[in-house]
Amino acid sequence: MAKAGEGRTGRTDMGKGIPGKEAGKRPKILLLGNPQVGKTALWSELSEGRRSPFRSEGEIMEVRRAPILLRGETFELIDPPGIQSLALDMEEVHLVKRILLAEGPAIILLVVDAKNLKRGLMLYLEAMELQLPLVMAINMNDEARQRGITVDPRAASSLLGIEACLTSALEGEGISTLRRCLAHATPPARRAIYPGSIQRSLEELAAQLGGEGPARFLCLLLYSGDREARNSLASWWGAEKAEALSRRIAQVQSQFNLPLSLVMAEARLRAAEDLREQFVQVMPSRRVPFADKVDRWIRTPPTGFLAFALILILLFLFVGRFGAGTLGWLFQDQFFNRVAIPACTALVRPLQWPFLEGMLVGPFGLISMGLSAALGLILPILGTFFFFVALLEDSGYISRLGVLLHRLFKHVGLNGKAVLTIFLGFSCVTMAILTTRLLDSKKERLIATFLLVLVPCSAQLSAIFALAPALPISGFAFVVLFVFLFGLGMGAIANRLVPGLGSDFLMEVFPLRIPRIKDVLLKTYFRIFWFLKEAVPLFLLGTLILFLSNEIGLLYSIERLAKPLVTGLFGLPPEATDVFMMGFIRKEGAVPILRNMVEAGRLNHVQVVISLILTTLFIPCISTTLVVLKQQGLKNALYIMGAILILCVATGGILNSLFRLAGITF
Amino acid sequence: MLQRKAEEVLEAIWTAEEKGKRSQEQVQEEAQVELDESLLEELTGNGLITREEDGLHFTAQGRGEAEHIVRRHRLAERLLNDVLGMKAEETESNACEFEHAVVPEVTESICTLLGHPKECPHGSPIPAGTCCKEARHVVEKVVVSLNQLSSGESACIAYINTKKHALLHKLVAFGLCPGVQIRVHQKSPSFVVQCDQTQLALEAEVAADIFVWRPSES
Repeated sequence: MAKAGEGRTGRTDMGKGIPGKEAGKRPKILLLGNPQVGKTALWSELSEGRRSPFRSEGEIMEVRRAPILLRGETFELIDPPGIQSLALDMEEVHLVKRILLAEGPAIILLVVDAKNLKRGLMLYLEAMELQLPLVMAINMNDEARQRGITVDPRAASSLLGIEACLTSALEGEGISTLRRCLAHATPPARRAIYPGSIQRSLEELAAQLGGEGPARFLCLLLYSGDREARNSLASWWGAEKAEALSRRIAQVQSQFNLPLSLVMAEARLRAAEDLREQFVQVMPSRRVPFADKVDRWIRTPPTGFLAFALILILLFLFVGRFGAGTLGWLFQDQFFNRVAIPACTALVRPLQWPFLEGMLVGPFGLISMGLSAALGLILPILGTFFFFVALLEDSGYISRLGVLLHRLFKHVGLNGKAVLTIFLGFSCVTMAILTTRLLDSKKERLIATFLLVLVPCSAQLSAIFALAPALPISGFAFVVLFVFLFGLGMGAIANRLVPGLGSDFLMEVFPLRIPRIKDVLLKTYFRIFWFLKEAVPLFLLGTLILFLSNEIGLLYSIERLAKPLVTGLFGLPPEATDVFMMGFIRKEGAVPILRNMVEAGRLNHVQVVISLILTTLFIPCISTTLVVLKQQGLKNALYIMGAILILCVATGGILNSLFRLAGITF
Repeated sequence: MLQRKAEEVLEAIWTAEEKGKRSQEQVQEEAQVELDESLLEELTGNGLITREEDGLHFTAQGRGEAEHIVRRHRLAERLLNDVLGMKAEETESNACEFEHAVVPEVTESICTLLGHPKECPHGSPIPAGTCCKEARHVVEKVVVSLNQLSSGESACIAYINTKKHALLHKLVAFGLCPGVQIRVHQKSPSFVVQCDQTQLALEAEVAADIFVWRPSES
């Protein structure tokens, strides 16, 4: 939520004519556009690789920034998430508005999809009110041509009074023209598009408030019923003016049956249709492209489920066989076990200092356990997993999975839109919990958070992949099936228990396309970079804590304390306590200890199954716990964590006794 | 859709022709609007009429258009006269408004409802439509909810019947609102519809709130 103070800075910034021109600050160019119109590809083409790794802002959404050179001046090119409209009440929209108002960009680069100009123009009609220099990049022109859509950029340019050009960011077409356009950016021509009484009062109020761009835009937001704008109204203009303004808006509203926001949105839609008529020609082709057929297959049962199963099998082969198998063998067995660890041992041993030797290359050594596990065992699994996920994300498959799985999700109180959130959980639960904010209702956010704590993240998946060879296929299948059904069952129960309503399912299904390997590799690289930066230090810290507790005998005491639970109830050897402790610090941490125990023959199949299920389903790591606390508040966080703890103990105990009674050994 | 004025002119030419007249002055007597030069130019330019020495002639396309307009006008007169009990002299101006607003599907339904009348209250013949030729006697519901369409069908949105303004606003932002063409791609496991080049997934409950003109059989 923008505080009043942020709004105020925004206003003063924007009031200075060309904003962002103060000394020491680079002027900014803001990319604005609907989702999936190729904004990021354009950003990457324009910035010519001089980009810094994504910095995430507002915690969930990636905002990319890069310097670009224009007219001999360096600008900062900002690429926030795509939005439908600036007047909608959604997280992404608020983020874009905050950037608009607080950073005061000098130029707006509006990216529109040539195939879908109507929606781009609707956004244009909102951005027009900013009265900032604006350039329109009519992107994806290649795809538009294939569909018989011809756009006349010159007609667009003279009609709207701005620079406009055709681009195909993925092909790198039109980039130099776009640079020229940016150098000559002008504010768009104003046009009256709203019903008479709204338009008149809008002009009148904007004039009273200073008349210039920001005032008009803020008035537009106020008329659209924007929550943040309304909240910060009094601090912008003083209580008295704000009061008068609210009265005036209420007066206009009384003339319409529908909320003004809706009346205005419809007016924009009609105006966009009219504008489009004037520079777009469509020659519809009867031919159904092959891609549309594929699209249909993967969206509808039964072919859709077959495709999903195929993807899961591919995922298993790629991550399990290639990542954990081949690459893991190369990294861990060949590099760490054969070269790095012996070399370090050889270096340390002559010092005759057992404490240091233990700390570096002992059973809980920073190198022998910490680094070797992080880089040798986990990195190959995570890397291949991230690559596969990025491939799926960029192909547009995830939203189709939403269509396919919507009914299943309905049972657990969520809808098809949540598929993306849950899917992210398989990469990192913490990150995914942050994105629950994108869900529409409170109930959905709570249920999704609860389920995400149960969802195995890539770290926990890597445990399954790493230990899969040690288990017979029946044991492996049992773990996977149990985790899946358990999540489903818990979701169904949560759906009954949590009060409130879900939301209506409405989601855009983006065009299916072949992902660009360059983008996929870039995404994979950034995520691996993030893993190395965020996770590895914690991982090493965890190893160090474990090593020190072992040295002073604390580990033994904790193991003894937890013995009735771990050994008695779960039927696991006492060292299994280390697995849970390490897992809490960083989930990946559970993997090497577990694997060492398996390799040392300390666990039988039943014990492997139980410890895998417990580490996979439960034990949220520190960062997950903190995020749950922050997002859901203390009360809900206690509910969630309490439920998880009870479920964990119960599941472990019940499974252990069941296996024993039934004599199952896998 | 033709401009309103142009429609008036076509209607006037038709009426004049029925009386065996076609000179510009005679047509002007029948018309509700000024037959100015630019209007006639526009109609000739659109290939709807030709201007010859003896007066104004329809092209084949123009005749078809005019037939529809006259049919709508006279059916409207009948509706107002027969069903709503309006006097014949009062129906004229109302029918004039009506003829510009009614879409083809509704025209057919009105015609069927009235039992395919042959003449208007003033005694002029009503051109026959497809429904008359097929002699339909049941009015098909013209506006249906989206989930009554089958997949692959396209239709035009008539209205969206929901009290949830946030949902409505989102739909508008995606480009969905009355008057827009929408195509149903699939209905299960959830709805996938297309509007322009935007594909949207929505659940059956939302689809049930979207009402469309039933697509014509053609």
